[in-house]
Amino acid sequence: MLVIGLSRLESYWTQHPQAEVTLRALHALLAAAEWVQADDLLRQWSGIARHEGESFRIALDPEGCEVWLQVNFPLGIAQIQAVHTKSLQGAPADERERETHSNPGGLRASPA
Amino acid sequence: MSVSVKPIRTQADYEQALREVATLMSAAQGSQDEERLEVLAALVAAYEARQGRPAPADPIDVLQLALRAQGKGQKDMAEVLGSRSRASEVLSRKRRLSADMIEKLSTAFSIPAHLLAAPYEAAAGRLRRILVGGATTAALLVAMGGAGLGILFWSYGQDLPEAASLAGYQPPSVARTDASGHLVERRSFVPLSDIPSHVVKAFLAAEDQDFYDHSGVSARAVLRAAAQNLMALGDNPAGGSTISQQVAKNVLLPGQPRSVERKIKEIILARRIERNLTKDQILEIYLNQIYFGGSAYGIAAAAEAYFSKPVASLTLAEAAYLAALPKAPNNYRLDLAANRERAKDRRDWVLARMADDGLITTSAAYLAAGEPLVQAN
Repeated sequence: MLVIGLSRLESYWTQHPQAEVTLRALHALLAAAEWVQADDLLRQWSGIARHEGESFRIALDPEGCEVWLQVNFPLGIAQIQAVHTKSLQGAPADERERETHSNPGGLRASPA
Repeated sequence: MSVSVKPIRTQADYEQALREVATLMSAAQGSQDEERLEVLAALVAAYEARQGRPAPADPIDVLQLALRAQGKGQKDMAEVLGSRSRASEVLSRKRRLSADMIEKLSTAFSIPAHLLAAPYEAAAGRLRRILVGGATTAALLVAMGGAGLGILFWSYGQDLPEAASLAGYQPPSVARTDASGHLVERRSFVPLSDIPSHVVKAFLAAEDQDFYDHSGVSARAVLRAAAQNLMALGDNPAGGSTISQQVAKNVLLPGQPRSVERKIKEIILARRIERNLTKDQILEIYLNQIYFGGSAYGIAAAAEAYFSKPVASLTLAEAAYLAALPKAPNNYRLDLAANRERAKDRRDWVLARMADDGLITTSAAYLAAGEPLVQAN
């Protein structure tokens, strides 16, 4: 596949060096893949989650991150859209951050 | 149908193109959007390639990620490879992937073979790590020692006497007495051509066996001296000096006390002397310059002092005795009765060495060793 959006991976592993080897390996596997439909991808990657359309989320738990990917199978193009840090609770830290910022004063709402 | 896209020249162009690609990813097949997506993706990929291609992924990292992605592990890999230890060793990089393993793993886990065939770094074994570490340390020490020695030699090489001046030097003939009229220094110059070959050979055997082979410094002599010093535990240390070094010491560095500094200067000067003088010139200066004990300086004065005869008349045994003297002249002087046995031993050692070096026959050495060692009146 033609994999684009490499800068997303690079910017992530620059800030999280522990994830670099896995992200490089992921890039290599994506670039060498010959999937012609979503089922091929899902069959080969049991840990992948499919979202709306041809959008996929690959969770890399040991590295504490997840990679968002959009694929156009007929053209053989995969775009890495984002790499997020996963929180301990499972939700991406970036999402939690967005939620925090949406609250007045930038503070998370009290559980009480 | 033609697609009009802006070339990607800057980071801003690139970001904009990525955003547009994201919106086009679900373009319908055969649509203009799909065509635009294809062109844009190619341009983005070309731009990323210009920014620097990612380094090839490590095959073991690829293998581990592929196993993880498929919910498989080392056990599955062991089944494919037919050995648990082999799987463990591959994953811990103690064993390299063979062509056979690559083929099996590629088929079993749908990993393109070329990803597994890329070069990668195997873990060094403990012994190998120790050996490599030791060799690296040794190489570093040798390099540092070499550099230090180079600086030391360069520093001592400055302001040394001019070795080339020896080319025209001839040890002077002198007869010097003290205030009470006693002879304290006597030297008569004799050209090398007038010195019999057995006399020259005796000195070569005793002082510098490699004289005609080295260029001022003899590694063999240094090693031999080091071995002798080790066995003698520093008692009466041997110097390993060549004849050229002794010329440097006696003519260019006279009166300097024994020290490492003087030794280094001797080595530097010996090499310079060798570059400026012929071997015969060096030998002639040496034989006419060195001290033989008492008031005798030079071979001619020594022949007169010990045997009351000219150099040309010295026998093999006499020549061997005189060759024994430069090492420690006053230890072997025949006028002192306590020295005589030691002097004979030393003379016989020179004769044996001449025979060992093939300079004389064994029978000649045997006959000469049978001669008594007495000083002429």
